[in-house]
Amino acid sequence: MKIASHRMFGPAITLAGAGLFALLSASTALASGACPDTIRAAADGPQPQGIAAALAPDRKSVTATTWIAPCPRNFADVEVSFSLFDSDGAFLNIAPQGPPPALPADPQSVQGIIAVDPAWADRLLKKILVEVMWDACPDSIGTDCAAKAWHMHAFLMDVPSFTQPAHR
Amino acid sequence: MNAMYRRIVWVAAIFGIAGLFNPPAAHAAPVGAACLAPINSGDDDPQPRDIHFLIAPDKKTVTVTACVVSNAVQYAELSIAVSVFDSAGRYLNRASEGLGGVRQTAGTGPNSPKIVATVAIDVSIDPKSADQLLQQALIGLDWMPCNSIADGRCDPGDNAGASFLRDVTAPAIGHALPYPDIPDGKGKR
Repeated sequence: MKIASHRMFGPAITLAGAGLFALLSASTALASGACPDTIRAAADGPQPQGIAAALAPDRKSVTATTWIAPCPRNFADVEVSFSLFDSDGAFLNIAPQGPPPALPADPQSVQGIIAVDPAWADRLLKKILVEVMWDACPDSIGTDCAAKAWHMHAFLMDVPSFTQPAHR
Repeated sequence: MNAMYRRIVWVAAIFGIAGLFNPPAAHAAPVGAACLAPINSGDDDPQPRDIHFLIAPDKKTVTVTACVVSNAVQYAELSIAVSVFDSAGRYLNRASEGLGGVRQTAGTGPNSPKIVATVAIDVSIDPKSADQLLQQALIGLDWMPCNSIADGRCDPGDNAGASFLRDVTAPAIGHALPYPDIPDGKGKR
């Protein structure tokens, strides 16, 4: 399995612990173009590095933002969606597809706006499902990919609160 | 005689279509568990949960959103098809979406399904039908399991499939809200 080149990202940081520390650390890593340890090979696909979510003042939507790492670069197209759940774990709604990040050239933030009933705004599960779909390119990079294979990998990411502004 | 014959044919046709709602392969489960709830032993796996309708403002599209869960760790392929009907049971239209290869969802707890996927599938409808949709949807799941998984790579097994006639969850939780606009939005959703 091909191992992507990377620099050390910090052993304490994992995708599962996508709290503020991970968020800030991921942002720092992405800003410097680093590829986190957690992304090992093309088969893993692009992965979200932390998440921020903010409930709109009118309580009718949640804006979710994640950051997609620019590695290991072996994919041609990436799509990201966000889903909300209630505190019982029931699926509520999914964000429409936003603009796909311009991978693999740059690290990108991806944002989705998820409609929610204001009456349920206080009963949101503090997790957001981030679904990443990508065309894997085993033997090439970017849009020259000849042998595409569509994949989906979902990440149920912790949201410390729904008041985090989306910034890097 | 002709009028009577036509009436009989119409009644037969309606009942024939209504027969869709009790196909032998369909798994009728009007009330299901929440998306992230455990899959009990013996339950269908994979299975759809939490079906919602969102009718577009122009009433030309109903977006069917759903959660699909499984205790498998990986599928070589997974696709979802949805069919909608009017309140008289007449089939209206169908749409599908392929998720491709699907891996275990990261971050789920030990009691949650291993794979959690959500979809939003647009089904074109006649605007006249928008206010008369049957509050049930026929969900078809097709998947290709992995015979074995080595180093993250799936050795695909044989195709499998199941269909589920599921009640639509009442639009009381915000699902009926229209999507906000996102400029330049595109993609599968």
